[in-house]
Amino acid sequence: MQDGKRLVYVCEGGDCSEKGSIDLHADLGEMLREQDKESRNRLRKYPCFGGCEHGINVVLFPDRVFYSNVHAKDLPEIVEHLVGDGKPVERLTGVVAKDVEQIVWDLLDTGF
Amino acid sequence: MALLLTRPADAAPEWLSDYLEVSGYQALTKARSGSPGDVVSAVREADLRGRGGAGFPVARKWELGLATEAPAKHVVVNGGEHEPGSRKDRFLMASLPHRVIEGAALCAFATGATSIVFYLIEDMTDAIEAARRAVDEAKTAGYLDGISVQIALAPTTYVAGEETAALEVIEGRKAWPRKKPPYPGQAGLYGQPTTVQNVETLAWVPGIVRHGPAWFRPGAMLCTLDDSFARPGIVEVPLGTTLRALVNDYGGGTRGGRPVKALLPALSSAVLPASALDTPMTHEALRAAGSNLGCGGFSVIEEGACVVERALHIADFFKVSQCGQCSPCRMETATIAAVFQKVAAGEAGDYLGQVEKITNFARGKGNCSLIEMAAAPALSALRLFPADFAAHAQTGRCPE
Repeated sequence: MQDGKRLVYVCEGGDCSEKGSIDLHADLGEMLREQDKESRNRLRKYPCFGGCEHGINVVLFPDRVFYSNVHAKDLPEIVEHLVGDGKPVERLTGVVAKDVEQIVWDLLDTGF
Repeated sequence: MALLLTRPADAAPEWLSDYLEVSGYQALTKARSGSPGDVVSAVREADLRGRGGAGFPVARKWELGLATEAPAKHVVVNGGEHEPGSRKDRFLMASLPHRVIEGAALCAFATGATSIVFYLIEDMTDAIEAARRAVDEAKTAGYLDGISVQIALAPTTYVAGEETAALEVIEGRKAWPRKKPPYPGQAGLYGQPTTVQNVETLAWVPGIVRHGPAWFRPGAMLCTLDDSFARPGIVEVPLGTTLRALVNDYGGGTRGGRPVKALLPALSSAVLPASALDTPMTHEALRAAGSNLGCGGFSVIEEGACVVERALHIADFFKVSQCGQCSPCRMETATIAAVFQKVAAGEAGDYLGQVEKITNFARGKGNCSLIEMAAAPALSALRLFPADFAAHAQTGRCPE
């Protein structure tokens, strides 16, 4: 967590960007600007999460939540969790292989 | 004395009449009067290794081809020379096409193949035109009787030179490497046994068969020296020559005249420090020094040049050149490039740990060796030049 904020990463790798991750990042940013009144979250792009076939991938850190197959229609639920006290959107989790999740946590732990 | 580059670099292409004057196709005639096993034995005794980058013993591929029973077998002449800085295969195909064709015909004879496919990059028009003309000449003269010949064009994308990606392209699909096994020798083109061999590799074979293995030993290779050398160009270098002699005697030293700081045998090889300059150019010695001979597309980094900038340039190349098929490769190449961008920009972090973590994760994954090829220069540069990376990470500049 940076400055006490949750980091919200949207993958901007080849597959994810082809599936619309750049627009999704922009939409998520707009929603957070409107709804994240307490500025709990910091939105960022990430080079590649290695879950290309399951993109668009969105990762929450330090929560260690790995969302896959994210579409624009999923954003309201994701934002509800990000700005409130609700739970992560479970149906979007647990999709990528465990070793892929682990290397992402390992890299994020180093600050990358 | 040069064994293969026997003509001036700027000479006109060696057409059939020229080649016959220097005993061209005598090796094929000699081979066909004996057994395929004799050709394989000659190649084995000469210890010819593949010149595409992997350095795999040629005889082992040919033994497999010879031993495999199949209704149809193929030879693919891999001219997919996509490694930046390497031009020797294009040169051979454009200037000495009959040596390659005779080598391919010898490979077909040795392995029992009845088809040869020349796989050449689509923008190498000089090589393609020379191949077409020389194949026509060889066919007319009867040297390719009983063999079907095709010239297939490779896309310019980097991975298209990988041997199974080549097979995919020849079969009409996009240049994505196949999962292995099976290897091409088992199930290659159209599922049939296929010997894929680099252009230069085949160009050496006629001399070995004609003169015997002793003619070739201890071996030689063509190297492409890029413009980081004072005298860039394609040179024939006896194996065992030291890297120092390669730089100074063949390359005329560095372009800027400063001492060597590091050397790259190929973009996809590990970086070697100046302290390795007395290493002899053999597969074993380069491996022991932590690198490999690659395809001989040499580049030097001279004192005063920025290692971080060079490492970032290479990382960016692999990031945009991976084919997109395998997720671990996409992740690794994107991560290395992003880490190096941060270092170059003066953003300190655990960059060594990050590159080590991602390369450890990716190692052995994916359908081809690009994962290892991207990792080798990155990891070696980080480990050999920690002060350069540390200075950049702190200040965005090279150390004072």
